[in-house]
Amino acid sequence: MGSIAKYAAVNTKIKALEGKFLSSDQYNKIIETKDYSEAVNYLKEETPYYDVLKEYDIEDIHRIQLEHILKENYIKNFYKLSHYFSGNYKKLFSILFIRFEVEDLKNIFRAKYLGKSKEELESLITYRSPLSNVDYDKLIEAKDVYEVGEYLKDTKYYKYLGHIIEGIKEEGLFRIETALDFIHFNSIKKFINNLNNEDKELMNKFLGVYNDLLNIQWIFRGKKYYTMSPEELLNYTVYNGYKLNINSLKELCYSKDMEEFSKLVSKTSYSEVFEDGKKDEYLIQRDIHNYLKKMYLQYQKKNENNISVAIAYLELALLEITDIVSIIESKRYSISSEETLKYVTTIN
Amino acid sequence: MTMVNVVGSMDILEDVAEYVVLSNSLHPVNAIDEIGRSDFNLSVTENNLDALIDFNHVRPYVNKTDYSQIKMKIKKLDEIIEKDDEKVRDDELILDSSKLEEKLDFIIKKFEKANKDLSFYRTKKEKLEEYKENISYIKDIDLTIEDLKNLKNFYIRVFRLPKSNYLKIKSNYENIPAIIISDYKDREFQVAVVFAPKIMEGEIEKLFKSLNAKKLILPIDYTGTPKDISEGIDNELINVNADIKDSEKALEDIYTQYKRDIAIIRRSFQLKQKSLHLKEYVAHTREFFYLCGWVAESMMDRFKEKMSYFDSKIVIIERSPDRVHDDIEPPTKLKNNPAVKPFESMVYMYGVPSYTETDPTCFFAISYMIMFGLMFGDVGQGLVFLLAGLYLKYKKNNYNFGGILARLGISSTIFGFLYGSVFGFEDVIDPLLIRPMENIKEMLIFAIILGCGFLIIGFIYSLINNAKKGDLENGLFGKNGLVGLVFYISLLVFAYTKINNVKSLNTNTWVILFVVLLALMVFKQPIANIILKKRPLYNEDKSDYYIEGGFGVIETLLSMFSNTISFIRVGAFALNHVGLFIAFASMAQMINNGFGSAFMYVLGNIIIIGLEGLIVFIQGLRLEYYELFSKYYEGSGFEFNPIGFEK
Repeated sequence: MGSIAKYAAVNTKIKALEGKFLSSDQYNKIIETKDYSEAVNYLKEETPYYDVLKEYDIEDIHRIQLEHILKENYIKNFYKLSHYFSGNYKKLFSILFIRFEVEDLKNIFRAKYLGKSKEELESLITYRSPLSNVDYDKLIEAKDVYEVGEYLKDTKYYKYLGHIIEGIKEEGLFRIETALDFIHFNSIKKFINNLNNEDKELMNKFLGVYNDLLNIQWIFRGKKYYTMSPEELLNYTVYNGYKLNINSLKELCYSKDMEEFSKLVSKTSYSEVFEDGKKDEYLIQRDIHNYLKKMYLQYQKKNENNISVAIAYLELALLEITDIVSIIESKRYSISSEETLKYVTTIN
Repeated sequence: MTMVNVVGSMDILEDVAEYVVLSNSLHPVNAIDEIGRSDFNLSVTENNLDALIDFNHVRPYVNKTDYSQIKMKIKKLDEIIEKDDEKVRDDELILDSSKLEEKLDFIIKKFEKANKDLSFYRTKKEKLEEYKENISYIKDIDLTIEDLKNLKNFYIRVFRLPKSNYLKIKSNYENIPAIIISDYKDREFQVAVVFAPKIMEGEIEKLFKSLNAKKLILPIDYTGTPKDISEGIDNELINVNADIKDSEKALEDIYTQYKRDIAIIRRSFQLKQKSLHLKEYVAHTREFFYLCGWVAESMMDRFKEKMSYFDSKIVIIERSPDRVHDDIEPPTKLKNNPAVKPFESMVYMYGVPSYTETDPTCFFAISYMIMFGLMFGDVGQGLVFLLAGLYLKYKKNNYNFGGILARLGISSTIFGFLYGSVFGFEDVIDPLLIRPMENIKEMLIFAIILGCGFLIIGFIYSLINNAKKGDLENGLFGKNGLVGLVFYISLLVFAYTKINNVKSLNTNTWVILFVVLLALMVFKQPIANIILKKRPLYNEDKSDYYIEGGFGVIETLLSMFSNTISFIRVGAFALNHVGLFIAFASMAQMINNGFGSAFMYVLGNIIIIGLEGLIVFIQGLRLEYYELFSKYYEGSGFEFNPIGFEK
């Protein structure tokens, strides 16, 4: 049901924004283009992305920049949508925004650890926005990872990161990145309780499905490529799944080999994503996207007066960007159209 | 205001600059600009010969002295001592920068040891407190630390980890090769005491790392059981606290001993910075420097006294403003009676009076208060303004706005007595003068008459200002000048006689009079130039001048009419004030419930004070700015701001 007063306006706005999504026809046309510049040109001239790209010269944009531009635009819309809400719901957007801030922070840590130049780092920072909690300028100016830690002292990130940064020389970036992910998930989990029941349930479902897929992917990789004990594997999973509870996760972590693992996965509703475990990595990644896309399209169609429409739109917009970037990348590396199709989501 | 030029040799520039700053009487002007305008005059005498010759190579002063060292040291001093300084006399200040640095080093050295000790003890205290907290987590264990250290097969660790991660331990406990006990938790974190076989150490470490746990450091260099150690640490803490107190006291003592010196150093540095700022205005050659600025009449003695220190080593030339180039305006020293001083901010919002203008603040204050009182006359509401103004002035230190509000409150209260209105109620006291709502016609006519009065005063101010400026054309024949004034008064008399059918001059005579006056206004420029024997007669093209003149006539007539009628709003707002309260009173009576009616009256008063107060404030300001200031006030001056220490 939902409350009309809260959602009627924003849902209408979102319907208008959804009109700007690419149609399957347009996707095909981009895939059919000859090369990189033709693809970007099509994107600029023949799709609603004209508004975003019109001030840029095609020759001057290269792949990474394009992704940057699209994501910046995405964050702008993200921020604009937050204005339709008030109180806890407005705060929800700041909390959801942490996902992007964490991505930028990971880039900053990596760049400082590897000693990259400030200009390189500048071009990687995508998500500057009024919703930001950190001072990007100071962080970019930092000499090394320890100084980055200093500048984060007055943010909520320091609580969980402080003691890890000291040991970065021996342990590398892994712990920092997982700590950042933890902060991201934890913040959302704690905050969802402030929403009304219907929205709380929906958010739990959306996050839960995402967590389930991430967990399975993580355990799969952990078993296949890393020599981690099952306990460690389990410790790195995220607990708030939708279909997979702690026991299911334990089973997966402690499975003896890949066959047993695949058998267990095939019993879940995520079987189509992982199949028999012999799929290529990139195909699993694509199918995770497909699964999520299907789910969000359902909610888009239902168009209920609750948070699902807004979340679905934001996720679908992000998936569209991922697809566009994949296609553009394929063009850049002169991959054939049939091959390209393997990298993009198929459901439309 | 006098324009002062100072010339001297470069080696005394620093000292001269400092003495000028100490005199706090010179408003500096960029010397290069002055010289460029060839206003920098040196009389050709033997004393000045060298300076004159060097004049050809003049250039602006660029600071080469580096104060960054001193600045850093002062910052260091500031970090150690944060207190404010006491007052320092001018003669105590250190003017020489090397001497200043010497003294600074001396003082810092005195503090350095004490400060080092203090930070050492503070760090030690932090560490002890951390140990104390960490050991408290295993305080119930009865074994000694040595025993625990010497265990062959097991070891003990204490971790702090996020609460949600601790759940993972609980859910998978059967697979973890350790004994884990957790008794302590807060909102975010939980503390786990881990007891595990030594061979499992690697795995346990990895496990807890994967849970984002922080290893808590235990005080293993101590002896005894955790309880003993805790006591031992407590004793140590007592000692360290005593040490900290001692160090702090040592610092205090040093400070008390040297506090005068510190105050002198800081103030001397401030002086250095200010004189650096002053030197930016200086022009110089290899040998000599040239400094220019304005000095107010009242401050000239002070200035000369400070400069007398240099005797004949410097040359000072003074010039009065009229001998200075036409383009240059002297700054205006602002001085006003404390009674009207708060209104300065409202006048200077429009512009600062130029040197030759009279400061309109006095007239502004009186006329604005009268208008405000007329438009917002109420005893109760006036008192509210008065109290609010006093509160702002004394509690919140907002001198300007608080002062204005208080004075408007007084005016409003006085008119409240005249109108007989208390918080809108007109049945409490009798009016000393008139009830607005019952004498509408009288109110409006009085407003217009008031307007005429103010406009005439405006004309008089315009005459005064033009006389001061020596502007014959506008002062005598302009529309804001004598001719304009006569025209205006004639119009008023004419209108009055016609309306009230009083006998006066023949209508034709009036018309001729008006036409003559208007003609004078149109021909003001050629006539003025003939009188002054200035040629050419017209400063611009003849046709341009007359077209402008023609439109000027129309504009004059219209503006005289509209400006006068504009003042009717004073009466209108007085009525408005009463009317608004009538509306609320009617609503209150409709409610017919004691509490509800009272609420409506209160609400009405609040809204009237807020809304009507704001409107009246703005309308009064508009009348002042547009109808009055545009007649006589230019406001194109700038404030006299002598260089000196911050107040």
